Amino acid sequence: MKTAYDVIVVGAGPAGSAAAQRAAQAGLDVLLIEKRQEIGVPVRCGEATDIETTERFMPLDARYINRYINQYAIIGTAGDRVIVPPSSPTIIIDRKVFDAALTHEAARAGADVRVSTTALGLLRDDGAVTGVRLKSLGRVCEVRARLVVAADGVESQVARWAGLKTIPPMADYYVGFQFTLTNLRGRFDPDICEYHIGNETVAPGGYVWVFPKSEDSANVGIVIPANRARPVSPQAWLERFVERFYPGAGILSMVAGGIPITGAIRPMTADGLVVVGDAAHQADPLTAGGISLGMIGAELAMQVAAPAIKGGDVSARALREYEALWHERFGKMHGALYAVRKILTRMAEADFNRLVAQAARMPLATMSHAELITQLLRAHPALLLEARTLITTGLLLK
Amino acid sequence: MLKLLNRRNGRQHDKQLVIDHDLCFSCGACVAVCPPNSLFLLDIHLTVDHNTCTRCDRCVAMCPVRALALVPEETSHHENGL
Repeated sequence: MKTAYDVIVVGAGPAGSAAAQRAAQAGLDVLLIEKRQEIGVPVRCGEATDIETTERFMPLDARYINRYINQYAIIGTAGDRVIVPPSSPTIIIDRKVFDAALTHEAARAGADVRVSTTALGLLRDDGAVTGVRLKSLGRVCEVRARLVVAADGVESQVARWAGLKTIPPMADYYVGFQFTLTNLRGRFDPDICEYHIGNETVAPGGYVWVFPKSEDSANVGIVIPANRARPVSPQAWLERFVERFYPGAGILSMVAGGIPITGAIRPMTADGLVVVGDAAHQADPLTAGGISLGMIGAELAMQVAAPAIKGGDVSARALREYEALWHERFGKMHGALYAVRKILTRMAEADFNRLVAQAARMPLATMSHAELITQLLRAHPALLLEARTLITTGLLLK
Repeated sequence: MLKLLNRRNGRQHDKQLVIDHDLCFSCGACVAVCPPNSLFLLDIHLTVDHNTCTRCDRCVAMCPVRALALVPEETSHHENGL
């Protein structure tokens, strides 16, 4: 490890490794640090992502791909289900192997990678971030950088040290719990990702997912907004679900975690610093999926930061173009997804079940979003009130 | 007087945050919602700075596995073995 780099990336999750790869490919001198002693563990994730984004950062590889998914099912509690294609072809991945493979790509591009290395604080010069004070294998040192990338996840300290607002409101923060279950053969469809929704009996304000890992095993997890995680905990809700649908299943692993679903923080930049991935709340504000979004966020950040570094101006103002690119690409869509979640969160379970029953009878594959929503509104005029939010956020205009 | 003020704040200053490390998954979900940044995930070990913790209850409310609790101070000292 040297005493100065062009870029220090804190956190070797998907967003951090993607940022390190792109920075190194731009010819910059990069240090990528990870506080844990091994990349990719513990896993804190449902492990679904899209092929298209993955392929732009590394070759598809059977070592980290568990399943290819071409259908999603949205399932109510009255027996109906709506089958929809994914917006982009999906893979269920082994996050531990996936993360390590991505970090490998960063190293291959030229980044200096260090594990068991924790950021303790930021070096500042006249307010601007100029490096990181870190501890590597027990030794504290100061490493300077022209740009620091905060990719330190949901519990980001780096963004906070830089004075950015990262604390989500409780209503916009999913808390989650997941089992990887086995001995499921014959009790689930290993080619479909399922979302189970029921505000009163499944997951208040959230959902339960069943993402296949093999013919016999699946990630079965739950998210609930933090303001509705009492008195019954996410873990307890999930145990009820598993008891009902998969009694006797073996538990291969358990995962807990939190995901901000506010939409990206503003600002995502400070003098000498950019924030990417979960640290920047870049996850989808409806499903909370965030692997590919974090990687795209990292890419957009480096697309702006690399020339900024070379040009000698890494002020927040110079880096702000990154935020513009992000909001241009995702702002409208994430605003709409946020609005949809707010509607679902409030919807009575019986109303949602009627909606699913109605949608299940429609030829979804051949319908545009606008047609779908028009049909549903005709069937459920009460939704019109809610629909105003959707219209104002532009979902119907697509 | 202090108690009165605390009561008005809706905060529980006579209580202390206790972490049950047997239950904690080190997921960091609580760290993200802590307004004074009093919770730390040192590698995989969650710790709380009692001096800055405001007993606001946010972390307790959202812990996915119920590993956090606000308990009366005497009890917490006992449980922490202090």
